[in-house]
Amino acid sequence: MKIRTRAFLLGLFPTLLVAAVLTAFHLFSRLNELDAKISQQGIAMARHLASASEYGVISGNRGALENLLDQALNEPGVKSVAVVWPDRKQLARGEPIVQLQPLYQLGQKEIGERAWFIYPVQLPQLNESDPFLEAGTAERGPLAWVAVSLDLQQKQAIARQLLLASIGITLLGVALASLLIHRLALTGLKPLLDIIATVKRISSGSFGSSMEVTAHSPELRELQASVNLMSESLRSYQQDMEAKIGLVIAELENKRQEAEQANLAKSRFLAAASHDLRQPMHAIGLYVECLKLQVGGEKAEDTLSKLDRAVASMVELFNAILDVTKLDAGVVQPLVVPVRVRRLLHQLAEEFAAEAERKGLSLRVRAPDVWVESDAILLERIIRNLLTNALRNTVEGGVLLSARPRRGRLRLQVWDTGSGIAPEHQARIFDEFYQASAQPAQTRQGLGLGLAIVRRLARLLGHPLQLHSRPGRGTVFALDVPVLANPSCMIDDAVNQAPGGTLSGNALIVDDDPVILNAVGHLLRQWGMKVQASSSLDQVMQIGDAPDVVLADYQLLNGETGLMVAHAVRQRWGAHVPVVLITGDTRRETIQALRESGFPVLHKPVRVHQLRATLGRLLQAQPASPVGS
Amino acid sequence: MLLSEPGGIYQTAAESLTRELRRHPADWKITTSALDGYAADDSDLIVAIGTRALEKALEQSGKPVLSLLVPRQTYERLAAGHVLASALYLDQPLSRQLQLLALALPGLKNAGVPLGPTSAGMQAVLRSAAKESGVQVSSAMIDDGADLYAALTGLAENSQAFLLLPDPVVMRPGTLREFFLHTYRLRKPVLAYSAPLVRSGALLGIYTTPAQQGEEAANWIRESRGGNESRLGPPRYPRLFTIGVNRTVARSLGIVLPSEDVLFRKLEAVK
Repeated sequence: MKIRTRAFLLGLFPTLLVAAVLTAFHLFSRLNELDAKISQQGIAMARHLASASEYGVISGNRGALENLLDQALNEPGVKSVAVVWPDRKQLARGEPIVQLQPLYQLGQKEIGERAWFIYPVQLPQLNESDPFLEAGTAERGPLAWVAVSLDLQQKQAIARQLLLASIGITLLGVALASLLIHRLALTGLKPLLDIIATVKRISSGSFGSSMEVTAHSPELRELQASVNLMSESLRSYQQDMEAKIGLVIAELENKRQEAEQANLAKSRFLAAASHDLRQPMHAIGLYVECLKLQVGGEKAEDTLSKLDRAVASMVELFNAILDVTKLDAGVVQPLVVPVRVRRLLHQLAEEFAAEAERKGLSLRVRAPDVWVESDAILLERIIRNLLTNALRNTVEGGVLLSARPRRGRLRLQVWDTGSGIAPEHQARIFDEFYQASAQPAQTRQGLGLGLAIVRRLARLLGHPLQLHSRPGRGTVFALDVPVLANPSCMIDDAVNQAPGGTLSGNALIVDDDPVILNAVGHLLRQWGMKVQASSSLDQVMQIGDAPDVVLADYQLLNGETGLMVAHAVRQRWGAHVPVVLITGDTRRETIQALRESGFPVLHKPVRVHQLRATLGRLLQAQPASPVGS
Repeated sequence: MLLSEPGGIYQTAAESLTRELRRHPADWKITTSALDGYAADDSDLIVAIGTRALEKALEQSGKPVLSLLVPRQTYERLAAGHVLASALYLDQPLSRQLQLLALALPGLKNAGVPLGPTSAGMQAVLRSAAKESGVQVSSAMIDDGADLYAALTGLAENSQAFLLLPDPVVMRPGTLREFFLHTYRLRKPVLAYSAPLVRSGALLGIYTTPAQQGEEAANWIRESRGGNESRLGPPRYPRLFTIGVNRTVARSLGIVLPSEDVLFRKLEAVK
């Protein structure tokens, strides 16, 4: 408890207690006194009135009684008076008389706000017996009764007055006591309170706060001085610290700027790599595919096959590095849409079925038909990477893609029966280029970027990612995805199947790079399609035959874009003509614009089987074209 | 008829007298006059109703005067020496009063009579009346300024009831209440001489009403004029009277009284 509070309590509590006790005592005794006074007055008045009524009662002189009652009613405090005869007849004055029966049992009684006093009217008993009057006088009751009622309101009024006066006096006393406590008791405590206040200021960070040394006692003076000294020391210490921290901050700022510069350089390099390397890699891929069809012979096929794998591996590495860079740079923005999980899982399983079969592994899907909220492309990428990882690390047994609802979310899991990950590696398995050393060297495959991308994408999408693994038994990766609240409105989108066999139809390819134009045209013709090529929007408008499908590069010369081509095509030949946009542009705005356009998009370098699958799907979904053959 | 005052009991008595005289056809000439406007005329008889009327009538010497509504003592004081005057007294004979008291309160032996300066002269009459009625009478003198209550208390020791006689000192209008209250406290019933006193607290009273006075006076006048004798004869007590009982007082004092009629008949029988 604070000293101030204690001082006030000590000073005020006895004052209040005494005031309360005195008030109660005074009130009690005053009211008792009043009661006694009223009682005395009432009894005296009733007795007097009874005596005065004797004549009127005995002689039956009503006039005399009426006069008497009128006079009595004029007495202060008298509310009503009455003479009541044994036969219950009564003569009354004043406020309504209450029922006063049986009268002889009453002497004094309070009814409501009135006190009643009853006194009998009777002739005094004679000492001497009188034979003449003896008959019938022995047991006679009173001749009548006199009833007087007095007002008790004055008593209540006085009680109220007393109470108010007592409260007033008490308040005055409390005020005086408070003043005295403040003046006398707390003045002595002031130095101590000053010290407390100063220490509080210091503790709240206001170093250097000081107080006037006012205490009279030497100990307190010393304490005050010491506190002032301590405050001053703290301030100088703080100033030293601030100077040092300033230096450190400046140093850090330099480092940060350097890092920023480095990062900028890295970004510039990546942009350049992205722009300058994509194009030739795209072309190499396309040419290798053309060569496969042109060059015969077992040796050549073998070489081409190796070349193809090397190119694929290079593309994969290039894409993975770019992906990680993009994710780290924060240029990827998720576009959350409803995603039908079962279809996604089945598509992936189908895509990887051949590889699983090659390794002699089973690949199964177990998933309910549920819609989730996620970015379709990024989610597919996560599962694809996990699936790739699982197949790569499993030698026998199999892989299971499963999904099951769990606490309002859908838990997507990729199980494998691979070698498992030792606990000491589990924490680092998601780092870039990290490969668990438990794996034998000859089985090492991949770049060590797949799981790094998975972790970045899961974070970006806000999907919790978990890993459970037991060495020698297998591993399971789990991803929790929010379930779409109201999936009933979703309709099934186009059937997404990779077609096989030859393609047919009229394809229009638009690209400003003649090398690409040439390579793609060559490839499509080999797949059995008719090809029309153009390098600009103008040329597109001059083409005679309506295309069944259009492949357009996004970035064309003179500021033209694939999107413009797409719109022009749709305008000219109708909205049913499918357009595929191909881009090597990794800028955020471009990716966003393409995504919002709703056209299918392929990123350079495009994998040949991906291109073929896309074309096949689009041509199959399209109604029969009048010019297609 | 000469009235002390116009209206009131004097008028009642005068009307009764006139009515009674005219009941039997006779050639009466009656004039009524107030005190102020009175002048001597040729009337044969002056009926003076009230004390002041009697005084005025007696001034007219030479004419017979009949006094009504005047007590015996007053009449005797005023009419001494007037041979032509006669009176029908207002008060009752003492023996009649004592007899009534004896009838109303069987077993009564002693009656107390407070006397004042006016009624002091009645002591002799009292003694004879006591003998006549068989009720012993003791009296106490109350002078002006004397303690009425002490006297009453003393008197009560030897008497069972009080007989009240007209006396301005004994019955002062302001002390009426105290007088009766004292008698109640002494438990002594009072026999009074007028209706207002009975109403004021006396147990019972015997009195002649103004109407009865008028009626009896008319009969008297008619009888005296019956022969040639024109003299009225000596003054006398009234023959007509009324008995009044205050039942509240009787109840308060615990006295059981017969009805007024019964008392009246008994009193008539005694006579």
